Amino acid sequence: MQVQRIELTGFRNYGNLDIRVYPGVNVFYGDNAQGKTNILESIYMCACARSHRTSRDADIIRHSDDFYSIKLTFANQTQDEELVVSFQDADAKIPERARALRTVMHNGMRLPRVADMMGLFHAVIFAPEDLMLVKEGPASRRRYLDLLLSQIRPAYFNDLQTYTRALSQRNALLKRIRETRADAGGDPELEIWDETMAAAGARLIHARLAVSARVAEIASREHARISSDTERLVIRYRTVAGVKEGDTLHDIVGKFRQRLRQSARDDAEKGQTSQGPHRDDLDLGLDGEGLRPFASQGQQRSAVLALKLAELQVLEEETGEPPVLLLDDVMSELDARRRNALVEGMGSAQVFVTCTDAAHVGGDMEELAARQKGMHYFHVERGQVAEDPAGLL
Amino acid sequence: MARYAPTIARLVSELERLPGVGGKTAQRLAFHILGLPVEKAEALANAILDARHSTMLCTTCCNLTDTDPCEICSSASRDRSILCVVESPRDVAAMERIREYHGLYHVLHGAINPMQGIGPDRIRVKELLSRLRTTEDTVTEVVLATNPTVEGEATAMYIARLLKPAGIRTTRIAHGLPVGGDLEYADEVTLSKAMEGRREI
Ligand SMILES: [Zn+2]
Repeated sequence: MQVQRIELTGFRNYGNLDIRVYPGVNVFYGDNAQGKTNILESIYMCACARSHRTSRDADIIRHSDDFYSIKLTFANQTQDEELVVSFQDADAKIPERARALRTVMHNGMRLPRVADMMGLFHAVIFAPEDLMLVKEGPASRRRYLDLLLSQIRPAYFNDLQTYTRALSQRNALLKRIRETRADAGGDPELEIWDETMAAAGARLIHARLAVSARVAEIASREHARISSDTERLVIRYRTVAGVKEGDTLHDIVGKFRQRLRQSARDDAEKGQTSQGPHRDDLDLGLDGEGLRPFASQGQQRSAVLALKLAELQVLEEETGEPPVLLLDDVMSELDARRRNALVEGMGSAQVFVTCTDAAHVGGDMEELAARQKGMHYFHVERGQVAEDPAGLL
Repeated sequence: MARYAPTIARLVSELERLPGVGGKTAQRLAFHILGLPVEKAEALANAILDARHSTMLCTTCCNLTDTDPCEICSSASRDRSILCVVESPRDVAAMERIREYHGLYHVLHGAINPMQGIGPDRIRVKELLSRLRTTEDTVTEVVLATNPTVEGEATAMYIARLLKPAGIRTTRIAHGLPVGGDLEYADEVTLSKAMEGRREI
């Protein structure tokens, strides 16, 4: 994947931006809060349909606008492609616009669903937010798996939406059962939602188990190279009790359905579904003397970097070409050893880097730039981007 | 709205209740109606009243009709051994447009949706069951043609389970590729659904 041109309208601090970028390394440098990260964010949104920084599209619109659009021109192995992702905010005063509208155009054709854009363009982002993977709850790790799988298999994203919808319906029904003091055990309507959740949920679990095993293998190997300590990074997908790696899809449907049936009465009491892929986790830990959590900041950073490198490699394996790499101000946070591991892991990918000090990154990336097709500098200041041939502006 | 005379305000607020009509559209419609010649306005009002007074649900299939039983249920040329279950009267109209299906219908008027408080008792499932029990026709197949949404699928599954003990063959319409389209241009979700619904030839 190679991005050729980025056009932004009403996006964050960009009124209108139109830049051509290069194969190889593209460095965006400048002071903080000038709009460097916004460019990476816009590229990322063309891969995952959502931002890595916010889940509210309205936050992304420039203050004076009610609309944003991202137009990305890129090439994959076979052809040039164009993606336009746009968002029109709701306006209560105009009836036709009572609801916000998200549109995606692919090569000039409007896609019927936003989900249909998944898998057209691939990117991996390394950002300070990645630390949430080890610092926060299971939701951030499920999101890591979901975004990776959605890029590999677009049907996964559809299963995720079906599952989420069925979960909301089952929970609504559980609350009604609780209110009416009915018996949830054997309720024929509840069984329908059990069935729907089991079918979609099993597909999520099946895909997550498989990708987690791959991630675990690669991340563990990368971790051994990055980290100075002798402990091994251990990763395991923890899911509905009784389900294990190697189970067929059919096995998982049966086991998950049975769990849902068994917990029907308890779930009705709580008014929510206690088990399923919406509660699962990707367990991470160090295996020295038994599995234990990460103690130091350095251990956390190594684990996160290993996970991100695994994401990159799995994407490349599955799609057959390197995804676009987005490095949001991460080089300065890493020590030489981790920086080297990162640069080595990049392979032949096109890279976008943000930093405050161009010369600093230039040094780190020299080897990479030499291996690839050169290094290009862009100076970013108050929403203006100027290409700077020397990197000395 | 306080600026308007009470009769005009009433018209605006009635129009505003219609689906898809907001305040501004309601005002535009109201002033359009007020600008019509009296006989045109009367024709509109009468059309609404006549349609409403003479329209009812068919006691057999629950479709909207002005005769009971409806035209389809009372037709001698329909295949009375097959029953197609749909969510809304609009779906019957869509199926009739293709002129390929010659069986009977049953209209549910909705789909199971707990988030909106709609359980099986709020859609016309009971009517379907008692119809199958009491009908003189020999129904050999029930085609479940609810929408391919999460709720439509759940509704189809619910009905299929209810009908199982009766031993009637139940089928679900296939969701697949648009005819005349190239396989390579189909989106992945449609393609994977089509793959799931594959059959022997
Ligand atoms: Zn009828």
